[in-house]
Amino acid sequence: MSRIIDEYILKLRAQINLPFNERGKILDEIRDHLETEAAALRKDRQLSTDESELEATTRFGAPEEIGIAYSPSGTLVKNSAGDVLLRVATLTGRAAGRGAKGVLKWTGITILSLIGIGLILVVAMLFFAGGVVETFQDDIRESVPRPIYTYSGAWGITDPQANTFSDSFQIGSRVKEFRLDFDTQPTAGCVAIQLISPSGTITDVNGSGCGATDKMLTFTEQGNWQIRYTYAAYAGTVNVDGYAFETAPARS
Amino acid sequence: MTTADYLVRLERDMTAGFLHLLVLLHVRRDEPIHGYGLIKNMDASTGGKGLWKEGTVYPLLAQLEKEGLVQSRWGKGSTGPRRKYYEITPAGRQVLRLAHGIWHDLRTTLDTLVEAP
Repeated sequence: MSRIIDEYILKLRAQINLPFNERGKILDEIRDHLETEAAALRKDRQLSTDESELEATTRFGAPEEIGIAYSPSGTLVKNSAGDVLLRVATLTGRAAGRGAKGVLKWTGITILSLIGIGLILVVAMLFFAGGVVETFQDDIRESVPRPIYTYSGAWGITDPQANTFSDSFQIGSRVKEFRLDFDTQPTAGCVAIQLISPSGTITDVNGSGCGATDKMLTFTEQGNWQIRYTYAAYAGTVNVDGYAFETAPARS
Repeated sequence: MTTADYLVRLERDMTAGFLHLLVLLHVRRDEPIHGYGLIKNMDASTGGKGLWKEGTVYPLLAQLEKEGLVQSRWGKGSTGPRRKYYEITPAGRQVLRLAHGIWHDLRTTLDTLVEAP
């Protein structure tokens, strides 16, 4: 009988302010964790049932703190001892139409920008007194990328006839370097991806495109780039993301 | 606050900033994986320093799932209750690739700053 775990779950239930079904699933998952941990402690360290459950629930965290971490408002939480409990950011997914086929997805970039901001704050904390932040803030700003292109799709094309569609994006004069991530997961058929640079150079990304693709390519050429997708009876996912590292704008 | 206390807090603050990525990296590496196994693997890969409370990883997994970076399914638990298994999604893999590039550049910047006279 998991007396201590049962009491912990009851306390945790009172702290998690979520709909009934959602809360129930969360508590099921946490109960599984605690009972697995307690069983491991009994086996590895020959603890009693109560000792193992007490240690498992202590390691897990106070119910009040776990409840805050499930708060929909999302905050950086620290307890009275200064432990950073969790950084639960309310990540807003924003989609903006981009032509006929591309859709900007900001979720991943939002996460990464928040990480970049976090590191900026750490650097600021380290060097604030010396004024180094002001000297190097352009360097720091130039380290955070800007999204330039994205395509994401799940296809189910049965036509064996080869077809092609093209997309394009612009690389401006402040771009030092940009990267493109290609990810295809076919279940049938092929999708071959090619890049055409402003100067006309063709880069073959994935050959025939009949196998899975997981590749990152880096370029520096500025101007109008094209991406060409040639497919035949392709079923699967296609994901392409591009982001650019830019020089800081000139100061007036 | 002593220097040692300050460094402990700094390490914890920096770890909190990277906790999302650490979770995604381990889900990608060990998928499909349940929360308990994920937490143990994360703890082992960071030297068992106990830089976060174990229970805070579950809300983080829930957030990552809402954002579409991981997906989950229920299976049978070893001790009776149902167990939730996690896998990374294509969107999660993309975020990791982007993060790797950012991490590389930021590390270069930090190395430069630290070595500056």
